[in-house]
Amino acid sequence: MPPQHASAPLTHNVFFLRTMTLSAMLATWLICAHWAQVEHLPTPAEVFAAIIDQTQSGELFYHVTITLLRVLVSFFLALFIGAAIGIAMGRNQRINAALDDMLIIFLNIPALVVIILCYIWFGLNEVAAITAVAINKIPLVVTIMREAARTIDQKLIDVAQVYRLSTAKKLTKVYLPQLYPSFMAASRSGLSLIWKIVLVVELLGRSNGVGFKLHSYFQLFDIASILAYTSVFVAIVLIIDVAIIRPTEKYANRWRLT
Amino acid sequence: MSLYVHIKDKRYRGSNGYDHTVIGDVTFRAPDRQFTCIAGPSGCGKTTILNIIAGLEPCPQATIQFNDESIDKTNVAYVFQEPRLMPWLSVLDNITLVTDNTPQRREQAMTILRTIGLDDVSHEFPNRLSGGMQRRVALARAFITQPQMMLMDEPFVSLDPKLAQNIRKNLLDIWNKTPSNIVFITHDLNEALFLADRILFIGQKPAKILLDYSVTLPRPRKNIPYAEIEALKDTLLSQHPHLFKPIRRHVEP
Repeated sequence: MPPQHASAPLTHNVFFLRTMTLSAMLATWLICAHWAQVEHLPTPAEVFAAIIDQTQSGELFYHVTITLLRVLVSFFLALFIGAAIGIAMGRNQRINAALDDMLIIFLNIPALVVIILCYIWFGLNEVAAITAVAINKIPLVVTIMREAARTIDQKLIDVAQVYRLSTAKKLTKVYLPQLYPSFMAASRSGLSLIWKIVLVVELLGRSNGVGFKLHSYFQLFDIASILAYTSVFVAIVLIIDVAIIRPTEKYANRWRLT
Repeated sequence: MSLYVHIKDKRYRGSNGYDHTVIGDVTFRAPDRQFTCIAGPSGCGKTTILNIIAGLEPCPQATIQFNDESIDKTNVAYVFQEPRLMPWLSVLDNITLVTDNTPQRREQAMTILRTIGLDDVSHEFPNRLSGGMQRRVALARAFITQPQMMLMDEPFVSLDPKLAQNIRKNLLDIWNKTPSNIVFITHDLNEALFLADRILFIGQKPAKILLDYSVTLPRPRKNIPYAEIEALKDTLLSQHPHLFKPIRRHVEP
């Protein structure tokens, strides 16, 4: 098979494949709901109607915004604290030795336990909610960034040292570009994991947000509304990925040979 | 302005737990604007000497001074064996990385790039350039800082001979415009004779200076006949056959 040289047909193919996968998912859903008549599975039209209904009442916008804010705050907290600890552990053997066991412990504490303990210790408030989410994600970011920091090219660091680059230049032009791919990997996996944990946190101890609403609709057995909230939030995460994460990644990787 | 290097000894702890002395006593003083080559067989500790001078290799037993002050206060540039360019920065950004990024500096960087014939690729990323071009960019990066002290570790090794000779001429061109003290490592005696004012011959481990040789060839040397360098090399090796077995690499000036 000849290698693909031209980028235009490849881009076209990727778009086609993505569209096909999503269409296949939608078709399966439609078939299951309409013809197979799977119990408690509303049709896409019913879910869409629920979205319109919830949007018109203003409830969907309010609860989704609240959840999105929690996701973003926890995401940035986890990313920056996790990256700082991970880089320190990757570059300094003493720090690594001191924190390694703690990292394994935190990696293995179930998310639910952290959430419950945070609510008990800090009360049923925003601080507890955000802390619980961040604590769940930080160890994973630490693990990814520690490995990235270990693979930093010492030869490039020597260049920075010999030419006595300022700390800011060292960080932005020498260190961070090397860590960037791992940082993006941590961001991607972070966003998807964090929003799932935020829902559990909201379900257990908040009186607003998508998690809270899902809990209410679960009690009412309103599957259409549950799927309506889920679809809207998944769509938002997808938009963040397409509009922010992918273009940033493309810009930062523009130097790589394609 | 002069460079003073005194390395009493440098040891490494081997895997068997014993210390190995890689450098014995290496002491020399290089006067202002001197082009000094350190020549010796591969693996004799030349790079270690250069890294100690640059401060990349800790060595409590060494005194490195420039104008009787610590080398830390000197504007040092280092051209490594590999170009070591930041792959995510353009050619121009790689050069201005080591200096302030003012329009004047960028213009100055472009002037150096013109001298070495790379001004038309200033916005390319390094991985789009050939190995020879990358080495020339590394050279430009070193000279933009107008260093008082330039350290070069076999910067033209493994290039094809003709290209290497062209870059050597580039180096002499830029050096003429921005004179600095250069300490240049090589295991190629032809290269050392073509470039240097003085050659320090280093022996096998523990490294020490076997011969301090002044090169009497007149400057400029850009068009010096190849036979003249060969003749000088033969004379030198016949007088000092113990120095080192030079790698027979023919350089067309």
